[in-house]
Amino acid sequence: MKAEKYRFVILALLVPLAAFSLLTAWPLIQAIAYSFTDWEAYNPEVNFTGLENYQRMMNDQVFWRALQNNVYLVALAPLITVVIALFLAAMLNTGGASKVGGVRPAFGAEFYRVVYFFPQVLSIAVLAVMFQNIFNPRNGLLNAVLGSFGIRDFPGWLSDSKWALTSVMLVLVWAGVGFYVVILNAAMAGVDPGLYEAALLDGASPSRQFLYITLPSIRDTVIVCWIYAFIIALDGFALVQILTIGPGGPDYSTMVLGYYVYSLAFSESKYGYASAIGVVLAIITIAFSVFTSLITRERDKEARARKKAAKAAKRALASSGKEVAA
Amino acid sequence: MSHLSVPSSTDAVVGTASPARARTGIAIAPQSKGQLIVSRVLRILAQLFLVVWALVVGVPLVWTLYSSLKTGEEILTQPWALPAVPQWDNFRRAWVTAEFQNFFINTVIVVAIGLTITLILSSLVAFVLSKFEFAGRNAIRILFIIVMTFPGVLALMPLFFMLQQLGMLNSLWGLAIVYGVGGLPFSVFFLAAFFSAIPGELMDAARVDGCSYWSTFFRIMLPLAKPGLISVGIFQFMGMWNQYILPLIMISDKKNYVLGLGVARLAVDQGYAGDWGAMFAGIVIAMLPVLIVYIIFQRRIQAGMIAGAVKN
Repeated sequence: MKAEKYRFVILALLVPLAAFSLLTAWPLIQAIAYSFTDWEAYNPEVNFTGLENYQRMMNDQVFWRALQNNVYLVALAPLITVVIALFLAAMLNTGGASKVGGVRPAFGAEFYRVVYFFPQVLSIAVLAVMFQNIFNPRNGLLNAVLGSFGIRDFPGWLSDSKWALTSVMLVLVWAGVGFYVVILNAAMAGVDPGLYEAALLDGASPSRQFLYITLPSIRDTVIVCWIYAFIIALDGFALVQILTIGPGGPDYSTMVLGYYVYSLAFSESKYGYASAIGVVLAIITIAFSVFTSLITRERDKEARARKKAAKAAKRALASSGKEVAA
Repeated sequence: MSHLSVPSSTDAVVGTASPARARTGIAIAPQSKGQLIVSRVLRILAQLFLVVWALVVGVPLVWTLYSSLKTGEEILTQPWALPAVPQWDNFRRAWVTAEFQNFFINTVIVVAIGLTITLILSSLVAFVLSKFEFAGRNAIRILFIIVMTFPGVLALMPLFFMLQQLGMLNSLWGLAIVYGVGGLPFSVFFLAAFFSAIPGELMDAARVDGCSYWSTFFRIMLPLAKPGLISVGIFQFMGMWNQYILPLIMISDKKNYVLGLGVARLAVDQGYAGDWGAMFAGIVIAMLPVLIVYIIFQRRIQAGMIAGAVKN
């Protein structure tokens, strides 16, 4: 009986786990190992060089430029995306007070959710090529739209090094907002309707209701959305590869770490150095994940502690009340 | 099995209906005329903002759709205008001349094989992880989580050389296997939730009746997990259909291109050939299947994504 169980477990897991380890886990381990070597194409000797690749990064202008661009993207894209999404999700709940309590969805809410979500199902290749045409200086949609508002002084969206990275960010925001609208809107629908009723009785304005009831109630979901948007903005490699001039240009203005790793490995065949930069990108990603999970855990702890304190205070009040009564 | 799916927002509203209704009678009453006007103005303003974003998202898509029916001349000189005469020939040129028929068929083959692999393997792993106690069970979960946390670009180069040694480069089978195995962590976690919700007694009963573990899995568990398999299948379909990076490193021979590569390549070629109409038609061919799947299953897709995002 027991033997049969173990035979089944082992047989069932054998193929999937072996394939998974071979095709995903093992390459990661290899990459970390390569990052300490001087492996380059057609180099017959591969030597262990310790931290040399990591020291080389310190003097690599392209690396710093890419890191700087990544910081720009992760600082702005998630913030803008989530703020727009929060705003639209709130607008979707403005159908007035519902007969069954809580807030009624705005007229056409279902339609808006479907439309907003569309970009989420497009491939990165389609998205990038579409936006190449939208940003096209000669016959692009963006200039045509701006032109119809009387704006004629356009920058070269992708060809001007001052604007190119912002254009990449606009695509990230455009594509991301809908996903977070749907998630945040669902979270808002779950807020206790009693809270709004109390606020209505107090005559609180809609904006105050949003700031003091909605936002605090869905704080955890907002954080999750922000983490998601952060990880997507940190990657951005496929988008840069198809959309931008160079790619990564002009003048490295859209170079990001992910694309730098790819081009070092597959265009310049500097395998050791590419791996080292990949490891740095991985460390940044993992540090961020650990950091955010620590914060949320800390907050959970705090919340629990606060609850405990409140309970203790209540008990203390109750007993002191008794004493006074006695 | 509806209790397994994510409760829709209507369920949530109905669930809170009775206690809320009692209170709402009081809550609505003190709304003055001024408040009513404010809320009406607010509603109109809200519609305005909602329409603006719908246009921001919708116009580029609609523009792409109708540009695919314009002549190259029209595309260059009148970016806004609708096509004077729909140029269906754009689609023929994209389909035949630009070889999108091959890319399309290749994509269908790779996605079909990749989906089959991922669904079979992930449901097996999910079943074992959620219904059996054994040493190393947690280690497997941790392995999946660790691999998911790493940025994929780090593994690309070693993966490339390994696939080269295995003879899996430039082959649709190779691509399908990498898709299928790469889809495992997400599918396993998604399906494990479904299997843990199936009562263990069902498995015990089947065992008493003399079913082997394998036939218990195939004949009892898989049919019960069907809603989960469909959801995972839809997600993986969209993910695999839209793949770009893996084919980029694995496929160099144009006859084995998939749609993602074809679209990116067409955008580059179009600069030389100047066939703008065919390029827009190519974009439409690549995005139409996922758009159709999305429109059919949009409720399920949104519900699943919400569940996934909130759980993680």
